[in-house]
Amino acid sequence: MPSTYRYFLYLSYLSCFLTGIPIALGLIRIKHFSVSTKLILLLMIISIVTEISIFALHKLHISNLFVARLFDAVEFILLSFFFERIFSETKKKFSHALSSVVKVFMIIFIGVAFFDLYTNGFNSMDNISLTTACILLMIYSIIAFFHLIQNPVFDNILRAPLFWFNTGILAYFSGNLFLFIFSNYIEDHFPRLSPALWGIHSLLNITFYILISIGFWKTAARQI
Amino acid sequence: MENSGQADIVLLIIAGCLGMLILVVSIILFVVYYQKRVLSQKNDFQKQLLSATVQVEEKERERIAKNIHDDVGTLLSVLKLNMSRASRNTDNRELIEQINKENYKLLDESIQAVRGAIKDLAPPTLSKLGYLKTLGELCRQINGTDNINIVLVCEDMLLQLSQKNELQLYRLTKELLNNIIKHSNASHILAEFEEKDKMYKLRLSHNGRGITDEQVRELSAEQKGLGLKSIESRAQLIGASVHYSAGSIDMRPYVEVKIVYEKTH
Repeated sequence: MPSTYRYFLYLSYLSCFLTGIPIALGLIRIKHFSVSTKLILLLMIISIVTEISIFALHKLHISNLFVARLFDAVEFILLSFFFERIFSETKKKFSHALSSVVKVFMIIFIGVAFFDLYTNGFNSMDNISLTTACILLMIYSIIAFFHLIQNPVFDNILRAPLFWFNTGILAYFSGNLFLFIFSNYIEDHFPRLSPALWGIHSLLNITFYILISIGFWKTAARQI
Repeated sequence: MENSGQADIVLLIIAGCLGMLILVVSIILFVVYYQKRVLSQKNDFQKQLLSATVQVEEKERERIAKNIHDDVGTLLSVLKLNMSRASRNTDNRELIEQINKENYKLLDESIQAVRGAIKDLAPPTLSKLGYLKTLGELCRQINGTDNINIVLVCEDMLLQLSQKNELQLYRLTKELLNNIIKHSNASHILAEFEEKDKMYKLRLSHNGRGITDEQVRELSAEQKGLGLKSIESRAQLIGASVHYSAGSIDMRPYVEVKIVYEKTH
């Protein structure tokens, strides 16, 4: 394996290892967590289990794409529930509308996921549903930022745990958008590029975990 | 050819990623800056409201102190002089009787003046009989001045408000009436109080010069709007809203106060 590609592999290992930090922080401070924060912690735990499963299957030379496909669906559903809980705290006239938005987005995602499964098959990258999830989650994030501005709980927004969770989600999914769009094309036409580009994914993963960790740290005795 | 295709794809993906990340950073910076600005404006407004309330209360205290000094102070000084005169003329029964009559009159007037000051500080009828009866009493006092006529229309009911909120509502009403009397050139005020849809509504309509919400906001922003800021501050304290209307051809100018209440069990 070319040495540069080894670095991308190490980056993937580092990304997997760093999942432990938000999980550890989360488990230490879990008694202070609201239901929505616990959803993020659950997502972190499922992430690390998925990462370990993917590596294990890779070592056994078994296709691991079905694990990633399942994880992507679970990730979107968990984050949808997370944002629904956040939006339920807005004023009544908006919370009903936003709750409907979440339900509609979930229906759209499920529809696209089945279409992706039909188009790409179970053992291939689910780039269509992932791209859709990215766009929908970016929309959730922007609405959540708007909610944060309209309902300031802290004098300094940087003290709000939701700010950090939301920044992590927006940065991760928007940064990965182009990667997910072209993932299957690259696998089919330029397979040598794959490790390098998934290295970018690992960097974004690391950023995501760091921001989630900061969010858990800021939660402490406060709720979102 | 394959290499150039590879390079193009890599460039596209990296450019896409960087572009999206730059967009994300811009959004986050905007959110942080905007929230700081909104909070700063809110804090400034709250400070202004608080300052206005404190200033109005200080003015009210000064006025009450002046009244006590001018009325009660003068009366008690004269009473003291009379008692001193009486002690120097203990043999003169007629003079002593005359001085006693004068002193009773002075004491009566002092008691009335002190009661007036107490009413200004904390109207006794409010805690015993409630907001509506006290408002009725206030309307009677205003009618007694002959400058303006006020009619109160309301059903006899006990308000589902705490004593604190009733006091603030009373003070708010009094300030609104004072403003109408001072600034509108009205000769007639109609005060209507009703309960509807778990909300109390007080409407003060008059035949004078009205003011709009926009004008109130402009005046509040200037130094002239001290009383208006105090009204806004009291309204916020009890969760009430105040709406001003300059009126039209078909409708008199009015100011309306709405307050949502919760039933206490």
